[in-house]
Amino acid sequence: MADALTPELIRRHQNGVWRYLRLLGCEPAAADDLTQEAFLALLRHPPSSTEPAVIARWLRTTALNLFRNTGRRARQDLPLDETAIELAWASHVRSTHGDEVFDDLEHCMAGLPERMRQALTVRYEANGNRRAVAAALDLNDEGAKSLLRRARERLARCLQHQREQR
Amino acid sequence: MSWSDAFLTMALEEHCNRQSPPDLAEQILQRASQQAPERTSRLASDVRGPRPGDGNHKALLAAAAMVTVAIAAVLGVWHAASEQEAQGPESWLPLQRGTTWEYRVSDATGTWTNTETVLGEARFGDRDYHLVVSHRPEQPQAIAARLVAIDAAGIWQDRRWIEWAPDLGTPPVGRCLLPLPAAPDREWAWTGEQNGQRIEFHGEVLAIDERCKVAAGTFTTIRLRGTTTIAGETTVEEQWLARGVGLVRKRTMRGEDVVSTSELTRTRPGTGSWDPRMQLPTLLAKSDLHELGMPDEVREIELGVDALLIDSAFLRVRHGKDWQFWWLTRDWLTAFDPQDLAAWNELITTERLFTSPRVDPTLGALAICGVAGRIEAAASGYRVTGAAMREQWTGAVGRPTIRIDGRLPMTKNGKNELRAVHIDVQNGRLQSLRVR
Repeated sequence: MADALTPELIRRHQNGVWRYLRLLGCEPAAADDLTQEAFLALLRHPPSSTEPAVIARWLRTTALNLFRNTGRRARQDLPLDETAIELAWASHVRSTHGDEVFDDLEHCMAGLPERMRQALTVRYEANGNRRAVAAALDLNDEGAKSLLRRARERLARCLQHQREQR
Repeated sequence: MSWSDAFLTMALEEHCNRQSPPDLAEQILQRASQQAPERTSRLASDVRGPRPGDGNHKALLAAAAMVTVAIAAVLGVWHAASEQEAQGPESWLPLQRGTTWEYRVSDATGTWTNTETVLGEARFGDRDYHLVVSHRPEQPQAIAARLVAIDAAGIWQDRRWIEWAPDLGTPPVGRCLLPLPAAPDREWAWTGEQNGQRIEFHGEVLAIDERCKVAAGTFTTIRLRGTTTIAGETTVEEQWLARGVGLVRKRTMRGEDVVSTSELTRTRPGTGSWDPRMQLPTLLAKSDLHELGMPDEVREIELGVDALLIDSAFLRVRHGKDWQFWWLTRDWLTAFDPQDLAAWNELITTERLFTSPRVDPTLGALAICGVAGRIEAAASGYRVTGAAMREQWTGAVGRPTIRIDGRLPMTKNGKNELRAVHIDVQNGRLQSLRVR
């Protein structure tokens, strides 16, 4: 029955599913579509448990299968190994939606040195590339690569620290 | 790049682009109202908290759907231990090259066909493994692969995921799928590790001589149950296996939920041979290279990597005056033209086909590019002989140092040039590559 899917239930889980699909490699528009498909599948074949974490897990498995069905390439051509993806997900996300990661990211980005923050922003804003970073920061290609790597490492450490603080 | 790195990239993209997830509730509800669900959902109660008795599902929360490590497609009909021994362990599974199984797979997302194909053989240690890949007909690239070996003690498997090339870089662990001779109530177990998480597996023979009817026919089967626990989550797989046929039916469960089912619709024995040149027109039509058309000339590069004999071939192909290097597998075709250090390193790290314990990845890459003609394991390192294209390189090759000064044909701006190449490898890592 359509009313089995409540707005509350969808809003509790939709951000998590959408982000999971983005992690796999979906563009935002495709993530919108597949998130909807995952919820419709949930309506047709609900899991036996009603716990939010079980529903979230079920939705992620379904999202992964839907993504596979599209034949799209995974992010960075990584293998679509559900175990590996799930372990990476669980190591970052504690909730059904993952919003806390972005609060932490905001905090950690603010704590980065200016040039690192600038490098990451240029790189990840509007699909920028390393060349754009090099041009923006007056670096050569190797310098931009090194700066981006160090910025990501620092960010990853900060995010881990934030997770442990929670 | 790992999935954890990918997560950081995804988060940065969302953060930097202010690209938050949209609220899709209205759209979903609208579409849901147009559908007639198969059964009444209990989901409305979700937001009010769990029902009594649901606590036992907490074990399902954590990680991984352990399909990757559970018992997979194999084996044959159980008759009796003495009969098994008389027929030999190999009779359990048809593993000639080209053998295929087609399955109808169903899960919450729908129903589709999955095809499994025996691609070739690879020897690791003292065991001969058979490489079996899975793919869907509409998606030519294989999505998963496993290495299967059979000996008198049992059937062994190492399953690994692939997207664009089988990762055969690490030797298989050889986890037991079924100890032989199979017997009623027989149990076995193993523990392992994946992505830093401990895996516990317990297998048992549930039934023998069980009749199993599927789309491909009715078979006498042995029924197995494999229970895998990783990070607190338990996945159960039940399999029905027919001797001489393989996997006939499979059911995967998490808690009380059947996650997926799979049943055999068709199987075809392999011929044991494979001709890459015959495969070329079909693969070219599906490849990004199709605009080039069929090459005017095709030369197969002999790799001589004795550790690995899977169905793949490196071809040197000519269109007019332009030569290119193409790599072809049973279901994939691509081109190689690494002209700088970054491209070379990418080649080495991504094309791990040749990173068997006996072949250095850099040597594999050299072979791909045709710099080296034949690579053999020797008592003191490696022996590289000949050259696939032109015998115009010289140098000493030996572990851990490889230095090659030679000339490598490369295509630039549509022109085929013979360019001077210097390659320096120490401790298995490329130190410098200069092309002049």
